Amino acid sequence: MIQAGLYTALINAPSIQALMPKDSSGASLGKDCVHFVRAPKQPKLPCVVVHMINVPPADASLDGVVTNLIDGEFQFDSYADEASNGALAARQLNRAVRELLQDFDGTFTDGTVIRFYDVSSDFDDNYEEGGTGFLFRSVLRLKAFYTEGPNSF
Amino acid sequence: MPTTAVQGIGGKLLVSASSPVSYSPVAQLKNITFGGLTVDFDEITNLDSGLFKEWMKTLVDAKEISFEGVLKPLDASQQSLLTNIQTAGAAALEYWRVQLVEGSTLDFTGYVSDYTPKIEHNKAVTFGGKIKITGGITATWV
Repeated sequence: MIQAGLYTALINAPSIQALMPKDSSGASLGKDCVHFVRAPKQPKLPCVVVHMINVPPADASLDGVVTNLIDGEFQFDSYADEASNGALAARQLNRAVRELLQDFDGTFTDGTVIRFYDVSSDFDDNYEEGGTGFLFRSVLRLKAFYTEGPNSF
Repeated sequence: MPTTAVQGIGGKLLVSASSPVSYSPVAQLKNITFGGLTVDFDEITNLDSGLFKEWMKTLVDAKEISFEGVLKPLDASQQSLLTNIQTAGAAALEYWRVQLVEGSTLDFTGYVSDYTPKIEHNKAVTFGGKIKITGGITATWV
Protein backbone atom coordinates (compact mmCIF):
# COMPACT_ATOMS: atom_id res chain seq x y z
CA MET A 1 0.00 0.00 0.00
CA ILE A 2 1.56 3.24 -1.13
CA GLN A 3 0.72 5.06 2.12
CA ALA A 4 3.06 2.69 3.97
CA GLY A 5 5.84 3.40 1.49
CA LEU A 6 5.34 7.15 1.59
CA TYR A 7 5.26 7.15 5.37
CA THR A 8 8.51 5.23 5.63
CA ALA A 9 10.21 7.38 3.01
CA LEU A 10 9.23 10.58 4.82
CA ILE A 11 10.07 9.56 8.38
CA ASN A 12 13.43 8.06 7.41
CA ALA A 13 14.71 11.01 5.40
CA PRO A 14 17.43 12.82 7.41
CA SER A 15 16.47 16.15 5.80
CA ILE A 16 12.93 15.79 7.15
CA GLN A 17 13.93 14.29 10.49
CA ALA A 18 16.06 17.38 11.08
CA LEU A 19 13.00 19.62 10.82
CA MET A 20 10.70 17.55 13.00
CA PRO A 21 10.20 18.15 16.74
CA LYS A 22 12.56 16.38 19.14
CA ASP A 23 11.95 14.58 22.40
CA SER A 24 13.79 15.45 25.61
CA SER A 25 16.76 13.33 24.56
CA GLY A 26 17.01 15.14 21.23
CA ALA A 27 15.68 12.24 19.17
CA SER A 28 13.43 13.12 16.23
CA LEU A 29 9.70 12.58 16.70
CA GLY A 30 9.28 12.34 12.95
CA LYS A 31 7.32 9.07 13.11
CA ASP A 32 4.61 10.92 15.02
CA CYS A 33 4.55 13.82 12.59
CA VAL A 34 3.51 12.25 9.28
CA HIS A 35 -0.24 11.75 8.91
CA PHE A 36 -2.74 10.84 6.21
CA VAL A 37 -5.90 12.84 5.45
CA ARG A 38 -5.81 14.73 8.76
CA ALA A 39 -3.60 15.32 11.75
CA PRO A 40 -4.82 14.34 15.23
CA LYS A 41 -5.90 17.02 17.69
CA GLN A 42 -3.00 18.84 19.31
CA PRO A 43 -0.47 17.32 16.90
CA LYS A 44 3.25 17.55 17.38
CA LEU A 45 4.48 20.30 15.06
CA PRO A 46 5.89 20.73 12.49
CA CYS A 47 4.10 17.89 10.75
CA VAL A 48 3.14 16.68 7.27
CA VAL A 49 -0.37 15.60 6.26
CA VAL A 50 -0.55 13.60 3.04
CA HIS A 51 -3.62 13.48 0.79
CA MET A 52 -4.21 11.35 -2.30
CA ILE A 53 -5.80 13.89 -4.62
CA ASN A 54 -6.51 11.70 -7.61
CA VAL A 55 -5.10 8.27 -8.45
CA PRO A 56 -6.73 6.99 -11.65
CA PRO A 57 -5.19 4.43 -14.01
CA ALA A 58 -2.74 6.01 -16.44
CA ASP A 59 -4.93 4.99 -19.37
CA ALA A 60 -7.73 2.68 -20.51
CA SER A 61 -8.73 1.07 -23.78
CA LEU A 62 -11.62 -0.45 -25.77
CA ASP A 63 -10.67 -3.78 -24.21
CA GLY A 64 -11.83 -2.41 -20.89
CA VAL A 65 -8.34 -3.06 -19.62
CA VAL A 66 -7.26 -0.55 -17.05
CA THR A 67 -3.54 -0.71 -16.55
CA ASN A 68 -2.05 -1.17 -13.09
CA LEU A 69 0.05 1.87 -13.85
CA ILE A 70 -1.44 4.74 -11.84
CA ASP A 71 -1.11 8.39 -12.78
CA GLY A 72 -1.41 9.82 -9.30
CA GLU A 73 -1.37 13.22 -7.64
CA PHE A 74 -0.49 13.69 -3.97
CA GLN A 75 -0.75 16.70 -1.71
CA PHE A 76 1.66 17.28 1.15
CA ASP A 77 0.49 19.85 3.68
CA SER A 78 3.37 21.00 5.87
CA TYR A 79 2.11 22.53 9.11
CA ALA A 80 3.97 24.58 11.70
CA ASP A 81 2.93 26.85 14.55
CA GLU A 82 4.47 30.03 15.94
CA ALA A 83 6.51 28.07 18.46
CA SER A 84 8.24 26.25 15.63
CA ASN A 85 8.99 29.38 13.58
CA GLY A 86 5.63 29.59 11.85
CA ALA A 87 5.38 30.11 8.13
CA LEU A 88 9.10 29.74 7.54
CA ALA A 89 9.18 26.36 9.27
CA ALA A 90 6.23 25.18 7.22
CA ARG A 91 7.98 26.36 4.06
CA GLN A 92 11.22 24.68 5.11
CA LEU A 93 9.44 21.36 5.64
CA ASN A 94 7.62 21.74 2.33
CA ARG A 95 10.94 22.21 0.56
CA ALA A 96 12.47 19.17 2.26
CA VAL A 97 9.55 17.01 1.11
CA ARG A 98 9.82 18.43 -2.39
CA GLU A 99 13.56 17.83 -2.63
CA LEU A 100 13.13 14.30 -1.30
CA LEU A 101 10.39 13.24 -3.70
CA GLN A 102 10.25 15.42 -6.81
CA ASP A 103 12.90 13.40 -8.65
CA PHE A 104 12.39 10.13 -6.79
CA ASP A 105 12.54 7.13 -9.12
CA GLY A 106 12.60 3.81 -7.30
CA THR A 107 10.77 1.37 -5.08
CA PHE A 108 9.18 2.20 -1.72
CA THR A 109 9.49 -0.23 1.18
CA ASP A 110 5.93 -1.49 0.60
CA GLY A 111 6.85 -2.60 -2.93
CA THR A 112 5.36 0.35 -4.80
CA VAL A 113 7.42 1.14 -7.89
CA ILE A 114 7.15 4.88 -8.37
CA ARG A 115 8.50 7.71 -10.47
CA PHE A 116 7.58 11.30 -9.61
CA TYR A 117 7.38 13.47 -12.70
CA ASP A 118 5.80 16.82 -11.96
CA VAL A 119 5.33 19.48 -9.30
CA SER A 120 1.77 20.59 -10.02
CA SER A 121 1.46 23.09 -7.18
CA ASP A 122 3.60 24.68 -4.46
CA PHE A 123 2.35 27.58 -2.36
CA ASP A 124 1.92 28.98 1.15
CA ASP A 125 -1.60 29.03 2.49
CA ASN A 126 -3.06 31.70 4.76
CA TYR A 127 -2.52 31.18 8.45
CA GLU A 128 -5.33 29.79 10.57
CA GLU A 129 -6.20 30.45 14.15
CA GLY A 130 -5.48 27.32 16.17
CA GLY A 131 -6.43 26.52 19.75
CA THR A 132 -3.43 28.25 21.26
CA GLY A 133 -2.01 30.36 18.43
CA PHE A 134 -1.61 30.58 14.70
CA LEU A 135 -1.12 27.62 12.41
CA PHE A 136 0.72 27.91 9.11
CA ARG A 137 0.47 25.59 6.11
CA SER A 138 2.66 25.20 3.06
CA VAL A 139 1.10 23.14 0.28
CA LEU A 140 2.90 20.93 -2.21
CA ARG A 141 1.34 18.78 -4.92
CA LEU A 142 3.36 16.16 -6.78
CA LYS A 143 2.42 13.86 -9.62
CA ALA A 144 3.80 10.37 -10.04
CA PHE A 145 3.43 7.25 -12.12
CA TYR A 146 3.40 4.16 -9.92
CA THR A 147 2.45 0.53 -9.67
CA GLU A 148 1.24 -0.06 -6.14
CA GLY A 149 2.59 -2.73 -3.81
CA PRO A 150 0.45 -5.23 -1.83
CA ASN A 151 -2.76 -3.92 -0.26
CA SER A 152 -1.55 -3.94 3.32
CA PHE A 153 -0.28 -1.38 5.76
CA MET B 1 -39.56 4.94 -28.22
CA PRO B 2 -36.22 4.79 -26.38
CA THR B 3 -33.09 5.56 -28.34
CA THR B 4 -30.96 2.59 -29.28
CA ALA B 5 -27.22 3.07 -28.92
CA VAL B 6 -24.14 0.90 -28.98
CA GLN B 7 -21.28 1.52 -26.56
CA GLY B 8 -17.76 1.82 -27.91
CA ILE B 9 -16.02 -0.15 -25.19
CA GLY B 10 -15.67 -3.77 -26.21
CA GLY B 11 -15.18 -2.83 -29.87
CA LYS B 12 -12.20 -4.45 -31.55
CA LEU B 13 -9.91 -4.23 -34.53
CA LEU B 14 -8.98 -7.76 -35.59
CA VAL B 15 -6.47 -8.97 -38.14
CA SER B 16 -5.74 -12.19 -39.99
CA ALA B 17 -2.54 -12.55 -41.98
CA SER B 18 -3.99 -15.09 -44.41
CA SER B 19 -7.15 -16.65 -45.81
CA PRO B 20 -9.13 -18.56 -44.59
CA VAL B 21 -9.26 -15.93 -41.93
CA SER B 22 -8.40 -16.53 -38.30
CA TYR B 23 -8.80 -13.17 -36.62
CA SER B 24 -6.84 -11.94 -33.62
CA PRO B 25 -7.58 -8.63 -31.87
CA VAL B 26 -5.09 -5.79 -31.72
CA ALA B 27 -4.75 -5.21 -27.98
CA GLN B 28 -5.50 -2.10 -25.94
CA LEU B 29 -6.91 0.20 -28.61
CA LYS B 30 -8.54 3.40 -27.40
CA ASN B 31 -10.38 4.34 -30.59
CA ILE B 32 -10.94 3.31 -34.20
CA THR B 33 -11.92 5.86 -36.84
CA PHE B 34 -12.96 5.28 -40.44
CA GLY B 35 -11.76 7.85 -42.92
CA GLY B 36 -15.01 7.60 -44.85
CA LEU B 37 -15.77 6.20 -48.28
CA THR B 38 -15.66 8.67 -51.13
CA VAL B 39 -16.73 8.43 -54.74
CA ASP B 40 -14.93 9.81 -57.77
CA PHE B 41 -16.99 11.26 -60.58
CA ASP B 42 -16.16 12.13 -64.15
CA GLU B 43 -17.93 15.12 -65.64
CA ILE B 44 -19.79 14.20 -68.81
CA THR B 45 -21.57 17.51 -69.38
CA ASN B 46 -21.88 18.15 -73.10
CA LEU B 47 -23.61 20.38 -75.60
CA ASP B 48 -26.83 18.39 -75.21
CA SER B 49 -26.90 18.59 -71.38
CA GLY B 50 -29.00 21.67 -71.00
CA LEU B 51 -28.94 23.65 -67.75
CA PHE B 52 -27.45 21.05 -65.35
CA LYS B 53 -24.04 19.45 -65.24
CA GLU B 54 -23.93 15.69 -65.68
CA TRP B 55 -21.63 13.28 -63.87
CA MET B 56 -20.65 9.66 -64.28
CA LYS B 57 -19.79 7.72 -61.16
CA THR B 58 -16.39 6.07 -61.60
CA LEU B 59 -14.52 4.71 -58.57
CA VAL B 60 -15.10 4.35 -54.84
CA ASP B 61 -12.20 4.82 -52.42
CA ALA B 62 -12.58 3.26 -49.00
CA LYS B 63 -9.63 5.36 -47.84
CA GLU B 64 -8.00 4.53 -44.50
CA ILE B 65 -8.97 3.70 -40.97
CA SER B 66 -6.95 5.13 -38.13
CA PHE B 67 -6.61 3.96 -34.56
CA GLU B 68 -4.87 4.82 -31.30
CA GLY B 69 -3.91 2.53 -28.46
CA VAL B 70 -2.06 2.15 -25.18
CA LEU B 71 1.36 0.65 -25.86
CA LYS B 72 1.95 -2.85 -24.48
CA PRO B 73 5.50 -3.60 -25.64
CA LEU B 74 5.43 -7.40 -25.30
CA ASP B 75 2.07 -7.86 -27.01
CA ALA B 76 2.38 -9.77 -30.29
CA SER B 77 -0.66 -8.11 -31.90
CA GLN B 78 0.86 -4.66 -31.41
CA GLN B 79 4.29 -5.84 -32.53
CA SER B 80 2.77 -7.18 -35.74
CA LEU B 81 1.81 -3.65 -36.82
CA LEU B 82 5.45 -2.64 -37.08
CA THR B 83 6.31 -5.94 -38.75
CA ASN B 84 3.57 -5.47 -41.33
CA ILE B 85 4.52 -1.93 -42.23
CA GLN B 86 8.08 -3.11 -42.93
CA THR B 87 6.95 -6.00 -45.13
CA ALA B 88 7.30 -5.30 -48.85
CA GLY B 89 4.55 -5.41 -51.45
CA ALA B 90 1.57 -7.74 -51.61
CA ALA B 91 2.94 -9.93 -48.81
CA ALA B 92 1.84 -7.17 -46.42
CA LEU B 93 -1.83 -7.43 -47.44
CA GLU B 94 -3.89 -8.61 -44.48
CA TYR B 95 -7.53 -9.29 -43.66
CA TRP B 96 -9.05 -6.86 -41.19
CA ARG B 97 -12.27 -6.73 -39.24
CA VAL B 98 -13.78 -4.00 -37.09
CA GLN B 99 -16.20 -5.60 -34.65
CA LEU B 100 -18.66 -3.69 -32.52
CA VAL B 101 -19.52 -4.91 -29.07
CA GLU B 102 -22.98 -6.12 -30.11
CA GLY B 103 -21.49 -8.23 -32.92
CA SER B 104 -21.74 -6.14 -36.10
CA THR B 105 -18.66 -6.43 -38.29
CA LEU B 106 -16.95 -4.50 -41.06
CA ASP B 107 -14.52 -6.63 -43.08
CA PHE B 108 -11.90 -5.43 -45.53
CA THR B 109 -8.37 -6.03 -46.72
CA GLY B 110 -5.58 -3.52 -46.33
CA TYR B 111 -2.03 -2.60 -45.54
CA VAL B 112 -0.69 -1.01 -42.38
CA SER B 113 0.25 2.41 -43.74
CA ASP B 114 1.20 4.34 -40.63
CA TYR B 115 2.64 3.51 -37.20
CA THR B 116 3.35 6.31 -34.72
CA PRO B 117 4.39 5.65 -31.10
CA LYS B 118 3.92 8.69 -28.89
CA ILE B 119 6.00 9.29 -25.77
CA GLU B 120 5.25 12.16 -23.39
CA HIS B 121 6.71 12.75 -19.94
CA ASN B 122 3.35 13.01 -18.21
CA LYS B 123 1.31 10.41 -20.12
CA ALA B 124 1.19 6.67 -20.63
CA VAL B 125 2.99 5.74 -23.84
CA THR B 126 0.55 5.36 -26.71
CA PHE B 127 0.69 4.58 -30.39
CA GLY B 128 -1.31 5.40 -33.46
CA GLY B 129 -1.70 3.66 -36.78
CA LYS B 130 -3.54 3.60 -40.07
CA ILE B 131 -4.65 0.89 -42.45
CA LYS B 132 -4.96 1.66 -46.15
CA ILE B 133 -8.04 -0.18 -47.31
CA THR B 134 -7.85 -1.85 -50.71
CA GLY B 135 -11.16 -2.92 -52.23
CA GLY B 136 -14.53 -2.66 -50.56
CA ILE B 137 -15.95 -3.08 -47.06
CA THR B 138 -18.33 -5.90 -46.24
CA ALA B 139 -20.69 -5.02 -43.45
CA THR B 140 -22.67 -7.46 -41.34
CA TRP B 141 -25.09 -5.68 -39.05
CA VAL B 142 -26.73 -7.38 -36.12
